[in-house]
Amino acid sequence: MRFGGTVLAALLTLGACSSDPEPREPKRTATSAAPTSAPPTMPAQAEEDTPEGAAAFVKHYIDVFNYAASTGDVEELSSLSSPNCKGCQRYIKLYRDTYAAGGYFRDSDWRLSDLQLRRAGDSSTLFGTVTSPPGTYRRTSAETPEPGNAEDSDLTFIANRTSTGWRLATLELQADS
Amino acid sequence: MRAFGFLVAVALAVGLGAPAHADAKVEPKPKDARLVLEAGRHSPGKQSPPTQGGNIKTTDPKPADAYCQLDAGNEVQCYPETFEQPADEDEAELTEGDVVRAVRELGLPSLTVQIQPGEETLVNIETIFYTNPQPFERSITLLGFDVDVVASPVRYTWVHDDGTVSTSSKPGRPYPAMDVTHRYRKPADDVNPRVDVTYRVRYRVDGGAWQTIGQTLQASGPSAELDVREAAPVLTRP
Repeated sequence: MRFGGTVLAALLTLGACSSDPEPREPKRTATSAAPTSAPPTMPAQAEEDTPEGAAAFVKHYIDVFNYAASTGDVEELSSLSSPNCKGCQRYIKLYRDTYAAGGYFRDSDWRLSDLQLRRAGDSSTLFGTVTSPPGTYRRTSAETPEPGNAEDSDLTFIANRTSTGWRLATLELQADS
Repeated sequence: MRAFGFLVAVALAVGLGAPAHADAKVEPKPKDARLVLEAGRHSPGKQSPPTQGGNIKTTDPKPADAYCQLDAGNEVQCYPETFEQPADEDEAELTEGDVVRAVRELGLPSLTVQIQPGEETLVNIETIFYTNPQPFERSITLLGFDVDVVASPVRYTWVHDDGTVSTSSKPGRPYPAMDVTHRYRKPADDVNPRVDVTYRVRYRVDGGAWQTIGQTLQASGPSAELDVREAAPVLTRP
């Protein structure tokens, strides 16, 4: 049994100890995102309670999304996103965490196609395609930049009308067809 | 004690060469929408007119009341969309979209991720993931038709909650099998891994031929609780 303990200790030395040199743990920096520009201003049309307003809001949302991706400043993106929007919150967390760790995304802005829209009460569902070049990214300051993926994804956006304007309640891939 | 034995075995596997795994891992490009948004898919479903030779219609994934053009500036123009209507609206028709909606209402099984060695694991060793698929077979009455529905898992998406995701076509198995494994690189408390299951759904109407729904459906599993620890080596006198 003691022999077994020695074997375990020795193997853990190889496989799972804190002094193991590989892989190196990247140091998380305490620096927060430092935006170099202001987020896009919401156009007046995006505040209208109309089909055009809903579509303009989604277009503006993508502009703010791209701003957050390139700066790590997710404050405006958060304010436009419902807390229950899982897709939105995943990207907000991705951008916040990546930039907090010294990472970044470059040259991978989403471009939005024309939209198809369906209204139901205070909710508007919009369908569109986002495309983007691969760009580059790095997850942390300790990593070397890598190429991203060129995107061509069909997305569903659901914008809900609230007392303060539109909020994105759903950001999802469209189902496989 | 069982956990101790498991750790010894895992350490042996790590030290002597890890086995090849059955399914390829995906190291996600972090911004890729297909990975970030994979868990949630949406298709509200509007039905197109019935196809000839059968009472099953295809699902149009992009129903709309309006088509909105985005110009280079910030002005948006929307135009009403028109759709073909079925020739006889009184005729009862069962569509693929009806079946999809029914299946969604029934709810496909969400699977609980099983983790070995347990609620705690170690950095830099293989942590084993597996789940126990549940059969999904239902017979329902839909718009007057008797419909049999069978859903089968076709893909398992393992969300490790450390920023990485892997996929497999099999549900994994417990130790000593190591079909689906993951190495956590950093110690962390309260990691919440889960498994999302993608189902392929087949159905038949009134005992007719089986048909496969053209889209897959997903069910996200509940999050597990896992602590990722570091272990310091301690030499003992033999």
